[in-house]
Amino acid sequence: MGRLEQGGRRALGDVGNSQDSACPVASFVLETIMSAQDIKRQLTGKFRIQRLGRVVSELTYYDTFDWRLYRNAAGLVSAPSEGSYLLSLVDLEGTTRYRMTLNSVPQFARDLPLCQAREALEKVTELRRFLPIARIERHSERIAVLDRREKIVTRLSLDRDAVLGDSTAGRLKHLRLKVEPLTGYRKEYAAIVRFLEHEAGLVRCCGSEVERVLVTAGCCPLDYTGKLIVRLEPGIRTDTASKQILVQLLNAVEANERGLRDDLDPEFLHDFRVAVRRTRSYLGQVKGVFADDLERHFRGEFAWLGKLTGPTRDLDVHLLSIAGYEAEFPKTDFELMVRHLRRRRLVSRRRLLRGLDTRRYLKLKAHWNALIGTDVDERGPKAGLPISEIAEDRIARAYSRVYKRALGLRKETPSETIHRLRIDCKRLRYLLEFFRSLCDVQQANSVIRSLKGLQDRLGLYNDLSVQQVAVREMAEELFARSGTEASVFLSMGRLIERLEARQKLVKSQLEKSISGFTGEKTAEALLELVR
Amino acid sequence: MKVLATYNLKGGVGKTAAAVNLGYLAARSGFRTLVCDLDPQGAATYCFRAKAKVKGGGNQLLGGDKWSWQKHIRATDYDGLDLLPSDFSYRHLDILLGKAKDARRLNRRVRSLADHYDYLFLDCAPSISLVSEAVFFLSDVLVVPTIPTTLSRRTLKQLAKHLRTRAFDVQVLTFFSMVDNRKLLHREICEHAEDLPFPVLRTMIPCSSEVEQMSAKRAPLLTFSQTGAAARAYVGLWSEIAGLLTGGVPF
Repeated sequence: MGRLEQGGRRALGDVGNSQDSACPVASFVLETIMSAQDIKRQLTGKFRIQRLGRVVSELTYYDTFDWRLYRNAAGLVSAPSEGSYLLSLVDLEGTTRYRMTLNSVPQFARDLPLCQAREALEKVTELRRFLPIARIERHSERIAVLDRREKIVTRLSLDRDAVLGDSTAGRLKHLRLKVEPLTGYRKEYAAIVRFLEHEAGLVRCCGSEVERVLVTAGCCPLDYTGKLIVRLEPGIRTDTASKQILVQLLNAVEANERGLRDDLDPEFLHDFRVAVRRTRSYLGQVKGVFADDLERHFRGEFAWLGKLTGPTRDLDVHLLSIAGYEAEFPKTDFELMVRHLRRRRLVSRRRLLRGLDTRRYLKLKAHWNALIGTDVDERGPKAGLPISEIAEDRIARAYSRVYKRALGLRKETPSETIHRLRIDCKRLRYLLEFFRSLCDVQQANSVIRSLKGLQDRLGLYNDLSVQQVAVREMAEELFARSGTEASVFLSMGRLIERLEARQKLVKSQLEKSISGFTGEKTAEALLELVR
Repeated sequence: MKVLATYNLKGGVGKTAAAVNLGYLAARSGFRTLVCDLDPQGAATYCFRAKAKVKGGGNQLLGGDKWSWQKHIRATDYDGLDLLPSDFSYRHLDILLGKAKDARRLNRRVRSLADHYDYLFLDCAPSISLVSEAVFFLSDVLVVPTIPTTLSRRTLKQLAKHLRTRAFDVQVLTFFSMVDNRKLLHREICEHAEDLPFPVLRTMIPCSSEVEQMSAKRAPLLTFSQTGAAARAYVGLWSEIAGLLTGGVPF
């Protein structure tokens, strides 16, 4: 279970009890129905065969918006079964690793009953919701190969898939023969596979089963990632490079808008916000690309958009963190606090949605798209400079700013200064991510890693500040309304105390993260980057 | 992983039928299930059409650390249901366990399967021996089929006394098996279930020729009889046991 790392192409598909981990399901391409009948005839001549009948099943494939299951070599498939749902965690070859029957399809990994699969899925998907990404109707003709005791030793399935819910609905897209290994009968499985390959002359399917289904259903696996991946050539003009980066950020804003509006999971808002902040940060740090008035205008507009999303995100973080304190409070008091935070989130979300429905937002997107979507040379004074020159200069300056401020931190440093250091770190991080492709990737990753440690602490410190303010505001609001029990205010007081204590602890740990980042190793790696 | 052992000191009370049918129903509910046939008669193995042979036999079941149960597990004909077959050498398990002087060894073997299965059913041989004690030690629940007769009631009391004396911490659930309502004694004992030393499940398995058909058809009852009284009773029995084990949470 320790191998479950997001981003790896292993691990999740290893969960559970495969039929036989050494033998994946073998799939063969069949061209026509005729060839399927021919194969059945050939098998009957060679093996003891039992026809198990035909099954039609409606399969829905799920993944998170950012393909966390697929990235971890897995798929989640549900099929209605006698009034409930059979949910299967499969590896990319389509071999079932874990099955469970549920009354409804879970929306999040946390909705699953406690089991090994839930533990693994929670680690990988975190806060992300399972989204239905492909629906197919599978017509399967099932055949069993028996031994002399009439015991099933291998199962075969002639599958035909039809995509549901699109313009080509009902059209059969794939015909293939699957051979499923059964635990303890590896030799028999190998004999069947050998026969199909060498004597029947069938060709094995290329690529994975899950990928094939997704592509057939019109999906494009891995078409979204929260990471910024831009490949820049060092010699290209700054305006061209900037547009490449900014177009990708605008794509991220647009990709997350739907999920944000539908409130599918908190990560849509998070990724939307990050893309907006990165855009604003780029405009603020790489000045002189566009005409001055345009830069100023869009910086202001993206600042407005960022501000619009802020309160809801803060409440999302607050709701998540307060869950960690549940055990420490009387149940009714805790529920009241959570209810209150949810109400406030609802209000702030309405405000956010109203903002997204304004002409201002539509105009911002349209005008911004018009500006960065063209190939024309920009009029800014630095537009024609090579991007590598700008990148080196900006990274060096940003690092120097962080370095100076970080070294100046003391026990008595006020929260505002720590907040400014957090912002400086964020700016440096964004620059490193924007221009990663211009640097030595290993060095860049090493600096980002070390910076991330510092950022995590600073972020936590800031979140704890925001949460204390939010609890105080909550107390004031409840106090203004009569009828709240005194015990609730006492609970809130205790919560603030805990948040303060935790914040102090985080502050005391900051020194270690700072020395890690300002140390020689990071400085040298950074100098290498900007040289 | 929950370990359930179908056990009774008496023979011919429906232990194997319970292990096979409950195992089948657990797998049909979506649980990854393993039936371990510890009875040298190998009736459960026969019902699943597997060969009653384990390489190394009972010697290896408790012996060398390199031996893995997983190598000897066989898929049954049913999705999600595996079998660790029986071996005739299991008749010496008691002697082997005496040599090993360590019931924990069997426990370690069983618990090594925890990542792979949700339910493990141990189909035990009728006896009260070192093997039975090892089973009491490692099981979460003893499922005890009981024919409603005077001698069966006496046997249950013997078992209760033994568990108490040896301080085994195992939950015991009993149910009436092979119930024939035409018999007055059966009816009387079933009506006074509270006199028995263990909690008695509500579901009773009727005496039915369908259950006997399992060995002729070599398949769990539910695969060839969906609506018969015995089949319905096993469904009820499983939902009662699953409800107790999962606290009623649908899985």
